[in-house]
Amino acid sequence: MAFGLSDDQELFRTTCRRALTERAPVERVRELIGDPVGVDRATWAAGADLGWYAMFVPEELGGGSVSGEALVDAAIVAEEFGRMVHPGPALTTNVVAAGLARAASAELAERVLPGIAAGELIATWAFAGPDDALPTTPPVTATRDGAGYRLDGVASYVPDAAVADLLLVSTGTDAGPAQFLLPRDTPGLEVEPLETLDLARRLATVRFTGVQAGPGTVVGTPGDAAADVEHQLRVALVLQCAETTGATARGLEMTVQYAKDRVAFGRPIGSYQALKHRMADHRMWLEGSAAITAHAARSVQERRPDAAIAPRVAKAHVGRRSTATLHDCIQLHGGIGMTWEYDLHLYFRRVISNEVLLGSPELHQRALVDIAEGAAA
Amino acid sequence: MTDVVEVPQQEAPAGESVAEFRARARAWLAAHVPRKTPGEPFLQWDDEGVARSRAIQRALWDGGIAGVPLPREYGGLGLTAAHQEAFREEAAEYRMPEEFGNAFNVVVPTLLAHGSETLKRRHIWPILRGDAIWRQFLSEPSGGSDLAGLLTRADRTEGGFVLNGAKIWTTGGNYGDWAICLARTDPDVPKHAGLTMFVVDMRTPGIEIAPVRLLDGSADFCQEHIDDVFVPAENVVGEVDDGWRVATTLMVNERSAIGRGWSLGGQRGQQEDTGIGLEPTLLDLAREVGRDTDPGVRALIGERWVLDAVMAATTRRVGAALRAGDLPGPAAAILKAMAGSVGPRRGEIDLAVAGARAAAWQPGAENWGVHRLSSHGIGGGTTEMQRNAIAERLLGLPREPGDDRVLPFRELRHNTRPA
Repeated sequence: MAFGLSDDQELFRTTCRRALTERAPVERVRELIGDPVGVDRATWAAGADLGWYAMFVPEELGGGSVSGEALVDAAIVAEEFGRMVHPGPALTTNVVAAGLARAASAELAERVLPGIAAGELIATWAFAGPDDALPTTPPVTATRDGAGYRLDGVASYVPDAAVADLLLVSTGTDAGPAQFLLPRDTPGLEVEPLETLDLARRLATVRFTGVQAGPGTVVGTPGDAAADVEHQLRVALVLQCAETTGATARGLEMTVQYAKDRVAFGRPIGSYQALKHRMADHRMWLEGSAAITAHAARSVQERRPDAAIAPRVAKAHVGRRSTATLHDCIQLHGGIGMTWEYDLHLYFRRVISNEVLLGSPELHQRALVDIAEGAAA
Repeated sequence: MTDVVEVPQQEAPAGESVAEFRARARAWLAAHVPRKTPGEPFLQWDDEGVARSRAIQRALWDGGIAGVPLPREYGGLGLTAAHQEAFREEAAEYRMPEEFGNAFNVVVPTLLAHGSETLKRRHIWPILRGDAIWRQFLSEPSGGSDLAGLLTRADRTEGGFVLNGAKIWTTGGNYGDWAICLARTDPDVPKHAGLTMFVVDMRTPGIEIAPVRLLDGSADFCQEHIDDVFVPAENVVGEVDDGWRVATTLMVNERSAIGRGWSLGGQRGQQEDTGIGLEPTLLDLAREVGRDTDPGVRALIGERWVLDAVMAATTRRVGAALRAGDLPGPAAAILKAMAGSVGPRRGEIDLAVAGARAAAWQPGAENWGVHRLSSHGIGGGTTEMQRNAIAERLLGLPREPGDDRVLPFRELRHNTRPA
């Protein structure tokens, strides 16, 4: 047992890594850079066999996780995705699965969760606004309309919206937050792809214009979905931190290897303290990232008292330190690090992107003060 | 020579199961050892703290629960690691004689690995009985990081060696009974090859111990002047000129004890995950100085919680990985290096929030400036040495080349202490 993971979880990690390195090496990721869909279908299908989309789905609906710790298992997948800068909607599909498993009616759960677990349905979460990656009020509003609701507004930074079959939309109503699960081809729902810093990630704006959301699309209790949205955010933050940690680990490995192989002024550049001390610091903060992400995964998984705090702490640390590390990895490489054909910038792009999506580190640091004041009040 | 040292034995039933031992330890601890009190210092190097720890260690001996896994022929109980773990769990709520930590964590394993039969029979049981507090004479005023470049000389004389030199950074040095001391026995070979480890009676004439006052006013460290101190030949640990190997064992044990949490008992809070709390002191200060609504200050307060939480989570993770063998011993350097980076940043944040109150304050109020003043990564190995350990031992990066490992010590530029 390593780092608090069970033998089953360690085996799961090994299997994930093998599946990704065999099917989707970074050359394959590069092939998908200009592709509007940006999903490697073969790897997606293999992922279904490995249970990548099943962990949050109850067993009676065809789901189940390796260890019973759904979020810890999902974080393992996310970390391995980061190591290969793998594209695609697996992480966001799992966030939606976690949200549905928590809040969806039995009827809705039976209708969609088996398909999600089997990899037949891709889902994504529309939650952020164009100018607010971590909104306090949802950017889409829902107003009562007959038996259902009418949705208007603009959600942004929605991962893989163009390829998703289902969108979980967080909205605001007069009574408070409400969530809906809508097919992507719902009339009035338009997906507009964005240009992305992370070349292996598709993000889109989703425009809702008079979208009719029938009673069957409601997730949870309308007006009372704040805790559901918060739970999804915690899961998303943990998976994002795990992915960033994996990407950072790989970027640092590449850099250390390069520093061993590259000789200048008569010796490997990695022997110079001016360089090796920097790599040591990156290794140190990386250990911190892995530690705080694992802590956050278990806190959210087990609904511990610090379940609101831990994912935000993790994001604040992982987000900031990883970008600094990847930046320096490129600096430590010198000229080759600046080139398009060297893979390091793909990793740099992923961690920068992850730093600012779902709220910046500084924003989450401030959120901790809000939480402390809320607890004291 | 070995048969002349008689080793007293503890009174303990033979063939105890872990459960039987645990029950006996629990009862004895409850009746004879004080419980931990909140906020008490981990180490208390003063007359009161040292006397209490000697008494507690003596109580463990009298109860037959001292030196649980140590061999019976040296005064221990000769029980298994499972018995020891049971002891640590039972002791978690009790005050442990932590001033004996060096003796148990570092000296005993080093003596067991390299010491002669005489040394083991003579020196282990007095530790278990609370008689002997041990210190380390390693660092010198002329050099701390470059330990193998040390200058203290041990010259052969009739029946033993004469030591001359100086040592520094011994915590609680004025309360030590015995020291394990590294000195140079051969300056004509490369520096690592001419060292020898000695057991030194700290009360030998010629040893002068003086406290070193630190920049924050504290004085837990000592410096020792060693002036013509005679050490008998039988006090050599291991072989003459093979002291670096002994020192390596010592440092490995030191690191793994740090990984275990160092404490002689179990330590709740360090090994168990107690969750992230948002400690209110800094937020209270921000309110007091009217800065609690400033977004920048709020981000800084949040950052300080992040630093503390990451440090704690990393300590638990690396500690567990070291215990399980998932990370090699040098990984302990991650924790020291992180403390050396987190400390100064915490100090900066405290300073930013406190503002002028860090420079002067009402008599008796909190001294916030001292957090910046004393937040250094020096004691116990500088942050730079930790970075070397991480880079070379964990990442496998090559060493900086240097003559100091190949030339005879005599031909090297020696460590100096600039005036």
